[in-house]
Amino acid sequence: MVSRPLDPEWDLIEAKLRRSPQLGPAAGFSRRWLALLEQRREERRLRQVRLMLGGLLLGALLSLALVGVEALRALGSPAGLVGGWIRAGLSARGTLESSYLFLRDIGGGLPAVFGGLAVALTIGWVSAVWFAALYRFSFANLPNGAEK
Amino acid sequence: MEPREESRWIAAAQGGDDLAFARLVEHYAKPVHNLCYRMLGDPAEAEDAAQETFLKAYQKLKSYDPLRSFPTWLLSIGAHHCIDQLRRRRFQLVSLDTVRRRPAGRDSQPEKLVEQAQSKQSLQGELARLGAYERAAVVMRYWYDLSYEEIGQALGLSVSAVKSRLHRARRDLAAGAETARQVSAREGSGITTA
Repeated sequence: MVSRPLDPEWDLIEAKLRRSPQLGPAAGFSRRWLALLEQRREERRLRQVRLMLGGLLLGALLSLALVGVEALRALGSPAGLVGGWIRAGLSARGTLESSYLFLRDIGGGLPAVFGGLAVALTIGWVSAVWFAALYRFSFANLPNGAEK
Repeated sequence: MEPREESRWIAAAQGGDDLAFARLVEHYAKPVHNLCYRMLGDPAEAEDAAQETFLKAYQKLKSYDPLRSFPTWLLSIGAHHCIDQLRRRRFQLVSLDTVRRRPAGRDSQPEKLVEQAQSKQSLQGELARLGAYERAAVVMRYWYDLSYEEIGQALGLSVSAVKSRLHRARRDLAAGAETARQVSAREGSGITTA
């Protein structure tokens, strides 16, 4: 109950409230709502992609840190690390040398026409890729990955 | 919109049909916008709040109980959104007031008093005097004729709490109107005697 002296004031306000019309939005409200819905969806997609990439990067960094710690532990000391690099370098050099000798022996046993054929095939393959790229990006003016 | 038609649009929207929900948006834009405008008092803020209300409703549509009235459910979401907005706004106003120092006695100028009285006489001015929940209860009661139970359901209050808030709102509105009337009368008599 409203206190007695305020009753007439309340009656006036109540009448004013009941008389007041409902105020609607400007025309095109549902169209604006659909646009906002699409915008929010796009924002959510972007956020998810960023989260996924961030997660992958974090995972990669964690894996790298774990592998690095394990690798360093196996080497034992900075001197051991340097020694490890030298050994790996020597090993790679040995592999390259043996590969070179193997190819030289094989190549020496084959006729010269095979060498010419290999060079011609390589030039042809590189040219085909080059012209395909030119067609796709310059002549057809298609963005990467788009379908004709 | 007939209840059967409304149920059909709601079911379609629950199945992921955006256009079906856009039909519901079109139909209920006016009551939701009106609620937001009456609560916030600013047309631009009301538009944003109404848009957000429909977005929230769309996101929560899976949890909508078909036994409940759909417009009341929408108004409930809108009212809660506006209550949050008013809380934020109040916090911002308090922060500004602590920074800004007004010159002493400025509010006692006659022009200012008349201006305040006129503002209080307007409906929005009267509503702005109320707390967020009181404002929501008054709007739901006098614009949408919702029952105490429905208002309680929409605002998450008991029936007695709704009655108490409406009583407080009436008392504050009546007191405000009485004060405004007295100020106007005083100003009016001051002008005639001068």
